[in-house]
Amino acid sequence: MKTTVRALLIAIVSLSSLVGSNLAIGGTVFNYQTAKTDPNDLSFYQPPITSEPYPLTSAKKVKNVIFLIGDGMGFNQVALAGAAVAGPSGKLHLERLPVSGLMRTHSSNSLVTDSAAAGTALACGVKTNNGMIGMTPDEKAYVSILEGAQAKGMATGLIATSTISHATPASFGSHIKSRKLEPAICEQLIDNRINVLFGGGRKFFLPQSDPNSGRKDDVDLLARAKAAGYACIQTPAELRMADASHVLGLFQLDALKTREPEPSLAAMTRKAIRILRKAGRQSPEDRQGFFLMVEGSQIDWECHANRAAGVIRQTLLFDQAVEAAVDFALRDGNTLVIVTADHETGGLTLVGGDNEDKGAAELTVKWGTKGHSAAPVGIWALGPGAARFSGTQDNTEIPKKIAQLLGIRPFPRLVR
Amino acid sequence: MSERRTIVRVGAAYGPAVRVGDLVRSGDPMQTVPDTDELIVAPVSGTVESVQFDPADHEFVIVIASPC
Repeated sequence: MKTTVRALLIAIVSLSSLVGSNLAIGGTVFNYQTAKTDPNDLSFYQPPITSEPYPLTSAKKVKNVIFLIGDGMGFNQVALAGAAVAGPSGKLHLERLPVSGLMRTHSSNSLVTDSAAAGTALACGVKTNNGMIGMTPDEKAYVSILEGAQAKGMATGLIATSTISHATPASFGSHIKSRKLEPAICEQLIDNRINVLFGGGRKFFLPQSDPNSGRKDDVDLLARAKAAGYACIQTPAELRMADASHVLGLFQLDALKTREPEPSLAAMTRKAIRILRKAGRQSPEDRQGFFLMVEGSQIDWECHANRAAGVIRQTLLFDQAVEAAVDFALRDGNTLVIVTADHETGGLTLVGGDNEDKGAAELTVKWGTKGHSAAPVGIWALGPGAARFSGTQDNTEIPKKIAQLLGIRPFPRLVR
Repeated sequence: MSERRTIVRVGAAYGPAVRVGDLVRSGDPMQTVPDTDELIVAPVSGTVESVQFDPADHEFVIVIASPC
């Protein structure tokens, strides 16, 4: 029977190789066709109309940097999402970036990193132990690439679909011994006067007297943010209207639900670019550009749960943000876009694929673990300086290369 | 016969070493952390009733049911 399904994905949860031989193979089945009629509907996503790479640029000066990180997004997460919506020959937007490479992800104390150590490597250019944020294992704090850009007069922003104080965004805007200390991380994010903070985690900004608070003290961070000049918003309508140079957008008490009526990651990215572009122009040095980090936080979470459908959806939501960034970069001409992951989650492999019926793909999805893996991840780049990100590299090299392109020296360097 | 439930939380960077339905004895490994000697063990004997990922704390929450 001829199938109209573009991708039929059979997810077999296999908990064998990495977590001990005592775990037998279990099984779940995911049918992409039925997924289109349930809450996992992917019709929100438009795959690229071509698989041709985006153009290379002849521009040399990097004015703006947009750094997009898919948490837990290994090569096979990208391949799975691509096969689901574009068939075996199709590409996601991120795969159309003209330069690609490989990145190794180990941390100071483990071949298998967590997002704190990986985020620190990507932000500060130094290795640390799992769980630590923005500092080396001996607790020496290092300047992040965001802070380096800010010191140079650039506007800065962080976006995540987790709480804004989760490990990856925290690594770019704070320095602390443990990723678990989210209330303190939020204080540092505000005190660092990062122009744009979009994500979840409003509970950490509320004093303990508020029934929705996630704090154990009386610090009212929303009040502190307002006093520091932030426009504090929490709805899509407020996001559309936001016009300040500093905007704190917290759209949930906890992590985002990544569903309407929340703004999508792409919508937050587009708005952040507009705000940062304007703020960069208003800086004392005038037209200093901006640095923006965007995280698709929940790819990792779906991988931890070994849910193929969720991985596809979250990867596509992330890819929409990549498309938004590329759209701006191609028009601007002096914007470097870098897309990578902090690590792979789930030990995901794709096997047993038949390729029949002109594009219909049948893939067997196998999971090696419910944790992270040590697999290298991909890196893709577009814009001036993009060629520097080709080949195989360590995760600590990424911010060093960005620093070179932006003229941030020395880097890495200690926080004074 | 009534049961009591014991919750064990382990970091999610590494997968849990147990799955739902496993019988564990007190002291059995719940998670082994590679590259270190760190070992998280079951505080009680019983049956693993659930293993859930908690994204907020980036941990697995393992519930062990044991007879009172």
